[in-house]
Amino acid sequence: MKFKIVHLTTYTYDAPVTASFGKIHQMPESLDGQQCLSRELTIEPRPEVLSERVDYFGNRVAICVIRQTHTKLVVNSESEVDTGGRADPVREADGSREAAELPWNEFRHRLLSDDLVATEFTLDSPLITRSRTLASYAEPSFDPDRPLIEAVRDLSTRINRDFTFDTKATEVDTPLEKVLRIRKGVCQDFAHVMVGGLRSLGLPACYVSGYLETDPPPGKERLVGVDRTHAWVGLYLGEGRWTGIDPTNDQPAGERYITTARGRDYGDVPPMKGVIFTDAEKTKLKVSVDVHRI
Amino acid sequence: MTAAFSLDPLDGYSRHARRYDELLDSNGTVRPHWIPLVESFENLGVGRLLDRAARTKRQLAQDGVTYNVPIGPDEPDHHHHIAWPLDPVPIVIPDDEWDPVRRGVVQRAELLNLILTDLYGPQNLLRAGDVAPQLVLSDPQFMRSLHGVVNPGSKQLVLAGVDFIRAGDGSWRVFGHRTQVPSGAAYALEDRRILSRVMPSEVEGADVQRLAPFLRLYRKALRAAAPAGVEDPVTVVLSSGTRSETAFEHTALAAQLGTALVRGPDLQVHDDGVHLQTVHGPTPVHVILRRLDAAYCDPLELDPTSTLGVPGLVEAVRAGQVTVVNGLGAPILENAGLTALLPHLCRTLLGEDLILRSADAWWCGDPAGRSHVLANLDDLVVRPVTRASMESSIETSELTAAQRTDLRARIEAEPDRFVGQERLEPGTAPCLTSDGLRPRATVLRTFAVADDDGYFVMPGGLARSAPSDGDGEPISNLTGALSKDIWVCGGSRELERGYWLSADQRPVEARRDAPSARAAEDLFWLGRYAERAESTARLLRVIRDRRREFIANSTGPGPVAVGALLAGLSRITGTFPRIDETEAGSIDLTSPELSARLARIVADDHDPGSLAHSLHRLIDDIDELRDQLSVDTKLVMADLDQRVLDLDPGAAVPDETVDELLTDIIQGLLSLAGLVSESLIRDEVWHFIDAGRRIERAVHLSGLLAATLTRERTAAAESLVIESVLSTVESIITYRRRYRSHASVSSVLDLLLSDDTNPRSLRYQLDHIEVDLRRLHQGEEIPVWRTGIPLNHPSVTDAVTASGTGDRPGETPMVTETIAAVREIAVRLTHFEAQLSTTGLTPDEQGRRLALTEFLEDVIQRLNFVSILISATYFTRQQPVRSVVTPVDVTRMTQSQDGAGGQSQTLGPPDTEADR
Repeated sequence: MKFKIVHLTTYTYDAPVTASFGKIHQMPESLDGQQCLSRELTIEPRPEVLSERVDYFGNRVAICVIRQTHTKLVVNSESEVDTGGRADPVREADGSREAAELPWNEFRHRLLSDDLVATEFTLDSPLITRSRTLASYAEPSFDPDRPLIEAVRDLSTRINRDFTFDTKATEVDTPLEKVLRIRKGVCQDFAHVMVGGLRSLGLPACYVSGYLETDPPPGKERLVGVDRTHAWVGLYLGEGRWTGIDPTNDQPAGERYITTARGRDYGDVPPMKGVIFTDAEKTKLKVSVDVHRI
Repeated sequence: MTAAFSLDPLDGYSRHARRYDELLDSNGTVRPHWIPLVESFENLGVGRLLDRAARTKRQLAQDGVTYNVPIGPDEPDHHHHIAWPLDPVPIVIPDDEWDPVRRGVVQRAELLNLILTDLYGPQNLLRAGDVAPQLVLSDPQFMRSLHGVVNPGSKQLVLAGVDFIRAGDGSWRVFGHRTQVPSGAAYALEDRRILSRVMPSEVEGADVQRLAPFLRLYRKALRAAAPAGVEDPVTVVLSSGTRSETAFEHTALAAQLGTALVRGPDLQVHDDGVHLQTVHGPTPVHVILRRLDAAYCDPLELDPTSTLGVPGLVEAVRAGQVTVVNGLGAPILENAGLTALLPHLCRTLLGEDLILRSADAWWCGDPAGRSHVLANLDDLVVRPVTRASMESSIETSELTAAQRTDLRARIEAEPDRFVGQERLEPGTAPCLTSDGLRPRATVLRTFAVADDDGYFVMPGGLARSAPSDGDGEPISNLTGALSKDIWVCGGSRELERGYWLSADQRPVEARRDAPSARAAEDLFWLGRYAERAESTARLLRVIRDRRREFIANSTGPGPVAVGALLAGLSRITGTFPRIDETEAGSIDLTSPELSARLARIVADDHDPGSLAHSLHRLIDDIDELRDQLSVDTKLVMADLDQRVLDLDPGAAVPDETVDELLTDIIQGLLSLAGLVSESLIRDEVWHFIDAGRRIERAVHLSGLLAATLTRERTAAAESLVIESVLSTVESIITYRRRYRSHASVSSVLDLLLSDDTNPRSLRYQLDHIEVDLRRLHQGEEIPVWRTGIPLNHPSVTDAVTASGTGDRPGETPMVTETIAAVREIAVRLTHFEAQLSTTGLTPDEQGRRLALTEFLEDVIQRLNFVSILISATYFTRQQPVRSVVTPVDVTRMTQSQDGAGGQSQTLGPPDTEADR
């Protein structure tokens, strides 16, 4: 499937901002079975510095420095992505079939030998600390003989069932233990719970930030700009291959998912983070995302 | 001559049986290389050695050598300045004994450099399993955003500090190294400077290797680290500020290296690199000597909570526009697990064994290491793997049984986080005590700096000795350790000379860098605080005199005059409760509240109007400006520093000593003023100080006059008030000479407002502020005669919003406005002078001199306006920094189907309003 994504972010401040520094993770790369056909980032006011690089985790990141005094900052990123190469690991014929067939622990041992990526993503990260609690939550899905993919799908289903989607329950920095206790949250929280559960069992998993194509309400026309940025989980299958699972919607992250960045947790890849110099007390943020097929 | 005086310093010196002693060999005989020094000490006797210790202490105080220790956990931002303790007895090490240190430190620096290069590059050590990946990847000090960056210069690691001791068999053992911000080199240089002064013949007689080449190579290494193509790189020292534990070292390094001392907000990232904001606009910076922990250096890509850093710095480093030394990635080398692996890595990477043996260490993440550590827990020091946590090492011998069980459980639960290290027993070195020399446990640190294809090691370093002979106590600044100079003696000097004359040390063109915007601000405020402290002290002194004089009177001119002066004091210090002139007549001179209030204005640092507060700010400014001021400033400040300590409210200054203290303070401030006037060339530095001083003096004078002379009084009271005011502003003698005993307000005003030859008059201040501003501008001719700028003129608000953006000092409008604003005050003074001869002083029916009040209040407002304009023109206005994160929006497909966009949520900082 081919998509055009328009991701428009507008910050409005109640006082002048004299300098603004931003780190932006909003530009899809050709990875994860997707092909980036085009991308363009435009920022108003015009940045003095705007540079792009590929970060430690292989994501495209832009750094911008704005020194023009402003009260409104607009970041518009547009891209075209073909997700047709994204395979369903269960049906995949190559090496990752092992993930669907081998008992998960056996597969895990194969994965972890000599693979730096695998090691990186089984360790604690700033927002996700492995724990006994997380492991016990995940364990019921991981019977010793169960193949990896099946077990992970089961964990996703359980998170989807056990946790209530509640936009008021958590903030961007709510600790994972609290999410686990109150069993409420949003996609970022569910992804963190799942990544934490997998890592606590010694499985390499990452946090994925991206977009999801949504369906219009039945009988209504598709509206522009109502899509959202989204977050799900990446499971490492070795040799640089990943497969995505979305616990929020309890389904594999298939062709309707567009990856913008992978990190150890949300903190590595927020769509935009920055530092501003201002006396402003209030920041008004407006985000609109439009994902449509082309 | 007392017994102590002639006492042999070696009497009673008995070495520890098991430990190595620097002075005595195992038979108790003085080691040969100590003999000349010991002879000299014996000739001096303990008494004169103690004199030398006292001189050492005095010299250190005069040089302002201090370090800061936090007052306590409750006040993390408050630090004590502690005098740097230096033992006049050095450690003498013959060149051949030092040789393994020299070679071993070079080898370790090379090794650390290779490890650093690999971790931020191909990571072969992690892939091959030489280093367990989780050791590095779990350490917050591994900066992922620096991966792939290759710094210019021959080495990725430019500076290193190595800590070592002398083991019982006389061999050297290393117990740690510093790569984050290796500190102590400037202290070592300072210790040597002082000892060369205090015992010049001993230094010369012992053939001590000089430390100067190290400093020279330090400079060279910084130049070599500059980005490619930069011919004459500009280097700055990035400091965390005067509250840092080693703040002295930051300023001393800047002074020794001849570079500017800056803080994060002074630097800005632009499209062509990092710029330092100076009073003449931004200038490019090529090399940043970092004295700030790497994590704090860039809130955008490293620790987002840091307000000390430079947003965008990582990107500028990645773009090769600026080099940070040591690199932002270097802290990972302090990982205790990596340190434990050095013997293995040395064989792997260099194909040889470590020349200097490390303390044995075991990482608990390795099963064999863990069982060894748990089995031998009592004999080990347990260190957290990462230094990011700021946890200190755990000395297991000091733990209770319960704590030990707890530690064991922690290691078993999270073995990856701990390293067990052999407990080394440091050797002893002779230290001077009041009973003569005594052996004290001693640790040493020396420094390596990258030099062409290799490293150069300081021929000496910084030793620290335990303050008492207690066994096993930690040796650190916090526990009062003494510092000692290390004398490496004898040996070939060719090496040293070779470095001295190093071929590529081309003479550098003299460059007079404009002060940074922050330095300019500090200079301006130095002038203001010095003047504020002086005039507050003078007024307090006069008030105390007058109060004593009239304390028996409850009415009459005495109390009225004191009341007027108190009104002046409360006016110029802004202290509360305000005393205003209407109640001035009813002041009860005997009241204890008045005493308490005066005591507060003298000593209460928490009151921003107090003398103590002004002096503290002044001392802070001078600390910050050490690299800009004359060397003798330290002499003056050492004395003032002591007076400020005497002022400490906790020290409960006895009332009878207050007058003496005030006089001492005034004397100190006059010395400072003299020094500023006689020792500084008239460049920007001087003009900022002068402008600050003049503005403050003019504001104080106008405030004092407004509080004291704007009301008609009985002749007796008026004459008393006039005399007191004249004493306060140091013009009484001139006044008497000129007007004899005739006390009239109009002649006072003539002397204090109009007389352009009186350095205390308003006219004089205005003339000089204008000169200062013109000199600062350095630009083309400025049209002078512009008048009538109202206070609500948009330039005030513009000035504030424009700062930090486009409006640079080079672009004349702001400067013109400022000068015009000063001229405007002068014009108004001229108008008022004309008015004075007619109706200016005529009181209204309530005895108020309204014209005078109105004039003075207008002057004060306008002076404040001038001060704001100067700030806006030249200084960095540090706006609050906020970090912003865009949350992930969330979608739930099933709910999206119910209603478009209705379920998504925006998360963000508490004050962020999502608008959908």
